[in-house]
Amino acid sequence: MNKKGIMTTMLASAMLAGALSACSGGNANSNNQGTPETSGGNAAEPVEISIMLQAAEPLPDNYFMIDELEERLGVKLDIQTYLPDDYTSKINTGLASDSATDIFFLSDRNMFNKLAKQGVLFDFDPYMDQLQPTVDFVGEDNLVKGQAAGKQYGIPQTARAYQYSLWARQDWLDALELAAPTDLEQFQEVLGAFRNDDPDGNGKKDTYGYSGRPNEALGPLFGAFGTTYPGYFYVKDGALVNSLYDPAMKDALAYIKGLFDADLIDPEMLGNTKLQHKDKAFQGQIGMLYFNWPNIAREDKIQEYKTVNPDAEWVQLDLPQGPGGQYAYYDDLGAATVAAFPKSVEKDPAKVEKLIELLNYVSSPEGSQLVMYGLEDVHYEIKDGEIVPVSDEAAVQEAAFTYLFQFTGRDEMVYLKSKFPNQEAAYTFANEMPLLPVYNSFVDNPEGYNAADASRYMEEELYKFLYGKRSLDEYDDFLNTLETTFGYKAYMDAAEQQLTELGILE
Amino acid sequence: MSMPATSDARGVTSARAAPRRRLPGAIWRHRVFYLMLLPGVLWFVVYKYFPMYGVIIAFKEYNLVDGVFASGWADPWYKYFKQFVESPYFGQLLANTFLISFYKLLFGMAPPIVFALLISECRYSRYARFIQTLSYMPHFLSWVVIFGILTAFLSQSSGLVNRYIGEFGGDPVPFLTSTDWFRSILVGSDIWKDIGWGSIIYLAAIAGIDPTLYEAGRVDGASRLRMIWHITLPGIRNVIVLLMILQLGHFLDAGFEQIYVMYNVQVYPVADIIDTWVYRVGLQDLNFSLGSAVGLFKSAIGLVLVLGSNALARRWGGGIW
Amino acid sequence: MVKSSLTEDRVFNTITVVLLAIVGITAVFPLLFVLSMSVTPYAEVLKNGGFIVIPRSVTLEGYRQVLSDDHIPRAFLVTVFITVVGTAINLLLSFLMAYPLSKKTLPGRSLLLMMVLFTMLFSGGMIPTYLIVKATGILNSVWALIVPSAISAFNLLIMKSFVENLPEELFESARVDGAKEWRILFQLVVPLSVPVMLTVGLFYAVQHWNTLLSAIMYVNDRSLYPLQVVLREILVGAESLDLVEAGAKIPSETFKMAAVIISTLPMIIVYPFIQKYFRKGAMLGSVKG
Repeated sequence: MNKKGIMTTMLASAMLAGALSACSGGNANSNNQGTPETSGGNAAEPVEISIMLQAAEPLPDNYFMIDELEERLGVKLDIQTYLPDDYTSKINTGLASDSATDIFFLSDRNMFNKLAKQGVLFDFDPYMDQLQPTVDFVGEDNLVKGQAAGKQYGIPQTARAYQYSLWARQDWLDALELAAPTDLEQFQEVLGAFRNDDPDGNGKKDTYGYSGRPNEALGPLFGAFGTTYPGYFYVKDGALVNSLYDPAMKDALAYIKGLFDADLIDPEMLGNTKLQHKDKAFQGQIGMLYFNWPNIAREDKIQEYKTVNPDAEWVQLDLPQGPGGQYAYYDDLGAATVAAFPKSVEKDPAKVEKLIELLNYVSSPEGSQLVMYGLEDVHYEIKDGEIVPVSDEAAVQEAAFTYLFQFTGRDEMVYLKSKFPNQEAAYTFANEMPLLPVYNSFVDNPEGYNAADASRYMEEELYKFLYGKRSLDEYDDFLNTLETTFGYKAYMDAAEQQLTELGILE
Repeated sequence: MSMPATSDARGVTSARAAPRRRLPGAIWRHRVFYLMLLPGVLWFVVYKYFPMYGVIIAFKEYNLVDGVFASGWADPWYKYFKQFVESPYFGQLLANTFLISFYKLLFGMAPPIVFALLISECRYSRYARFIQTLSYMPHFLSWVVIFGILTAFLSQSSGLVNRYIGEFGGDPVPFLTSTDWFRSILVGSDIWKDIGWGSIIYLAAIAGIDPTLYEAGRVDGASRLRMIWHITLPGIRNVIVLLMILQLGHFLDAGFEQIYVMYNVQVYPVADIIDTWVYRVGLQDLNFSLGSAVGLFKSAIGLVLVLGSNALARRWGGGIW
Repeated sequence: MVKSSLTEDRVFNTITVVLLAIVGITAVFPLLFVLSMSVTPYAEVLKNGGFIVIPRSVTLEGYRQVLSDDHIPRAFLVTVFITVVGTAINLLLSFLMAYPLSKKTLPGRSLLLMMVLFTMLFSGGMIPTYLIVKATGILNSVWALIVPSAISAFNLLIMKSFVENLPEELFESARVDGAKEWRILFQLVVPLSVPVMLTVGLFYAVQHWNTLLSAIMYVNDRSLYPLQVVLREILVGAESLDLVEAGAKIPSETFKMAAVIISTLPMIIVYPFIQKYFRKGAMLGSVKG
């Protein structure tokens, strides 16, 4: 390229740069132009509201819901969606540079506490009267999930239905002439048969009894002993107990170790960080799975495993009954996704008013209908008093994204029924799983306690015990190291004090 | 312009004798070069140097509202360095980071060079070019995708390799969940992914070697191996040294993305590195100060390694400056 | 004598060809795998043990979804724009720095090089960098994807090291002819530096093509999202949520892999076009001869 050519290219791109930045520069600042003069002073100008959502998938262009809400509420919406990994960084940089969106959502209690302590969150307390419709929708006793240091810094969403349960190959049970296990002994027998008695009849010992994600799959087994994964606080016989110190923990470990010793469990279970267990199960290598229904009961998934093996039939199983009862998993009572505003919106009363109006609207019967199903006769019809999706596939597809606008949650079971009429049995079953109530989210880590190090140590040693790499006789040594080297004693003390103060033990 | 420029070399050496009088003159003679440097230097100042005040977060209790300057100092000022060093895993993290980086450097340096030599020596140039195009493809696949492929090959229960091992009556090998194998898989897949991509820069360097040298070599009846040894390798030595030094600067990085995608609880003892630890700790505690402190620690070590290796390289006539 | 060197040559050739073939085969495998996955329904892949090289019951559904996707085609254009414009800016700025820095006589050269190198090791961190991007008024524009990465210290140092290796006599003779430095730069140094320009240009282009974090950090407007952001949402999105949103679309593997192919292909196609400049002696040969 000669000199002239280079210069022309440079010049052209420089001019283009000028032109583009000139027209986008204005947009960049529009987020925080919320001074009372610009938004409140002129009634004809709609208030601009920016919202940041955690989503696995982006919204389609010109999504109807944005127009609909803008029109009904007289606002201008700017919706941004990010993956969970990026979401935290976006909130932090936004708050640090005074350009956070007007509404954002926090699903991690630890982060919520930190932000509340740093004084960057909007305090809802003076506005709770105005928020009454929202409070009615999410439930008064839910509100505690959005409180830190006694103040309401967030509006919790309604709880989602629990999705996990035990799933097993019915055709394998039939082939081996086994009944669904009801207690721990039968549970082990069934896993043993899946592993050793060639349930797929291919003459090879290439099947395993049980799999799932490492942080979920053992839930039902701990649960049968009335406990759960190490490090959780629950109330047992009127006393606050940490699962690590529950005598049932050792029994549970001994039982689970038996399953590992007999080689009944997917040897790579700890490597199931994504959906590897689903693939293995669908390929016919796993007989029982702790899994969430959308990944196994939706039509597309059923078709997937039926293509691999037309005889395959996955069914949900009841939990095995053990000496401590039946629990599928734990339910952290303090954990919720909460909607929060940055403190800076306080300066703009007109905006605060609109934000509250928006939350109230999506919690109202009319608004919640809109954000659950879309528009009547476009996305859904009412037949015999029940809401059913229209037959037009494109419209149903479009309505698939409405969940992103359920800022305060939804009436979960009604919602699922209308969206997934064919899976009703599956999600009802999963939602009825008994969960052990735990209180960990109410505990604020004490200064100097490194939760990440401690949880790594707990996890690692847990699997050492289960894989027989460390004898269970050393369990007390393990607790000792945890308390001293990893500062767990300080954490326990802080937790007990905080939970007692909260009045959990009464 | 041409006359003063040719006298530069002499001018600079004699400048040592009388720096006060000569230096301004030397600068003035080079004014056009400074003009060329101006836009770039300006960019570095604005986008790289200006934000560097952020490193003081390492010594502060950073608060989002107060910002970097108004936030209070940590007590003691080295609080977050202390937290890092006092982690029960500190020794293991350091050892893992060091070993993984060291293996990647040790085993990863030569393959792209050898590959570049093979490409440039291959008589069938179309074939060589075809192979080269294929070779750099894995570079474009993200670790998420590569991990999917590795799982398909190496999974203990369903992987292709283990199915073959099974056919021949062997016991399945837990490549991805065993502490014995994990580092080898990490280093191996890293080298494999970038062998072709890494060779590009060496090929460019080989392209810059004066062809008359090869002609002279051929006349002297030198074998191809001799020519590689005496002409090609010395011709790309500068680039090799440069890349080596720059890689040492990032010695404590060890490849976060790859490890984050591939590791699991079972292999933490051999795979947990400084960056993955910071990620886990920072994620739970929203701890910018810790991240900054550890970053400073890594950078300081990188700086020592770069300065040291550069000084060493200068002795052999290479080096960055 | 002649005979033995001929045999040696033949052995050498054979070894070269075989070794290259090995590298080629191992390298082409993953792409073949992804390609096959992109045209084979995932259930078929699972049926085949989760591994497939030759496609079965071929379907182009994945590609149809990619092309009819709201986000991918537009993100593609954004990426092409930032790659082309960004690389041009990169090369210009880098070269303007690399050439003076290659002059060993330049006063302050070591200091400047140190300054460049220092930025490879130390950085101010996420929030201060965000604040400077905001302060320079390019936040939420396509320039936020280009300007903050206008120079890579690594690429600059590579460029400088290549330019340094150019024979000094060439410049001397040009200066004797009365050429000005700017002319020497653009008419002598640039043409002589084609291989390194292409190499570094390729590095820069790939870096832009893979733009991910700066887009997530500095851009809110979805219509300015580059390809990698969208691709990552497709690849890891559904797996990154703990509770699966029951109504959310879980992208099929076919769709995921088709998206990988579409977003990788352009970079793979580009290379053969610039490859011919990497032949042995391509650079000096063309100038001297």
